Amino acid sequence: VTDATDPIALRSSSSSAPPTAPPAGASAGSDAADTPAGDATSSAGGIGSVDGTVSEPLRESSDASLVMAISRYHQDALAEAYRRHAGAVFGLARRLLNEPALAEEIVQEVFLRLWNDPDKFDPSRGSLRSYLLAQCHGRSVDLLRSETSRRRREEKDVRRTAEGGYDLEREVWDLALADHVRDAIDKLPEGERHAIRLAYIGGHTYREVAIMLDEPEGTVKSRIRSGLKRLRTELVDAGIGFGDPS
Amino acid sequence: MSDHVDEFTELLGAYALDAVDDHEREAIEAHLLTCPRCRAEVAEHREVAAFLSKGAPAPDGVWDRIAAELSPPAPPLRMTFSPDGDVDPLATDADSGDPGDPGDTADVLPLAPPATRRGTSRRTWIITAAAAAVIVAVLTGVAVDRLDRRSDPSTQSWADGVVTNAALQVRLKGKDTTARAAVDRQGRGVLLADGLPTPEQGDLYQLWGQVDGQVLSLGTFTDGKVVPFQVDASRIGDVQAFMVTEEKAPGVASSTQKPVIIGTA
Repeated sequence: VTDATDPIALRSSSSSAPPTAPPAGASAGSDAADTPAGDATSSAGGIGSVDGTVSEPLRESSDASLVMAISRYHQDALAEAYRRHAGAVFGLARRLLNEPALAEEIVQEVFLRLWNDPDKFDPSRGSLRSYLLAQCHGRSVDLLRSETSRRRREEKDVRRTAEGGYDLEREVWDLALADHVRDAIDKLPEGERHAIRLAYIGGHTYREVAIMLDEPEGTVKSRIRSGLKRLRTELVDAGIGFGDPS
Repeated sequence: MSDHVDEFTELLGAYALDAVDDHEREAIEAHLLTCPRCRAEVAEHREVAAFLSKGAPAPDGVWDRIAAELSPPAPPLRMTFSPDGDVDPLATDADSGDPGDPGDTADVLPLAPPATRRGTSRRTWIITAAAAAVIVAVLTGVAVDRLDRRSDPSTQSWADGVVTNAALQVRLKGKDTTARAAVDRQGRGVLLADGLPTPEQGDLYQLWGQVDGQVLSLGTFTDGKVVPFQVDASRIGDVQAFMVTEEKAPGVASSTQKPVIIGTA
């Protein structure tokens, strides 16, 4: 009943103009974006040069309440979600697609989908960031697997194989991951690590991964699953909290 | 059968990483619909996967392209009350220093951008109303419409039907009178406010609903005996308040008047 004073409801009314773009390079490239799945709200304070039209209450809103505001057509809630997560989404898309222009399209698509269909995000099932990244990954992989790029990629894979195997550590993996994440990944058995990398960052199906690693398909799919579980445990041990959406 | 399920569970990791074939994905998604445990596992895998790439600076210009695709922001409707107290804007009647700007109240359209009133020394309670596009989405009532067209005697039984089947009932209070609003499951609403005095010459009453913090006009009337209105049936649970203001005919897009009656859901 007292929702009339809901800061989001009030603040969004104050701008009849569309929300101003977050200064793309400055904000999204900050530490917040570089900490995958990190707690965006806690790091928000570290973002200094932010767009002045996003008010303080919105800045401090949880991701879940941002999405609620988005479902009420509050554009600057979307702008804030973009500010928090667009960098991560773009990073993943670019990693997968290797083409910045395509990656930008994915970013656009992912956030427009959030705008048009905010109910698809269920805060009880995980963080907004993991939701957006899953959307981004799915779309990127769809593109990757489209016929032409598939052929191109397969040629590249064949060439790589011919040139003497994969230098996964350098070529596929992202060395700039946060230290504690990389430490956790390094603790995985090699087979799990490779399978997860090729699937997630390489955008390959587990069957493709099986061929590339010359392992049985069943082994690869089990390793992906067990590796993800192990990684979760390692990350928890490293002090990363899960199960705290928003 | 259990083998079948095991087959799914073994695939959940690969599925979470989009590393399954299309036919497998379809089968898993069908399974997920009925299996909360597997859904939870997929969500967990995706949380982990979110750590597996690093962020990059968002590229220039992308936000502008996104913003251009959003439905254009219509000018907000705005309703401003100036309560003297914290709780009940109608508790005292002494503060009539702001009788409403005639320039505002005379026009329905176009909607002027709201003036900022925050930060003034007087406590103001600003409730926003939705953009025109949002009104369509949220409430199907005509923004400013005559509501007293159902003033024939048969209306009373219709109103009784709404009240009997009400999904929402709100009691509105004013200085000297009370009223009742009811909305049935189909979103058909009725305001029963026969205690309202006849509005002054050239004036009428305007009914407003607050939904999710947004104040929307539900129409105008002069005779409050039975005032029908309509809200989106799916949003009945989001209705927070109803209020009535007295306005210059033919009604306003945004009001600066103190409500004559108001009630919260």
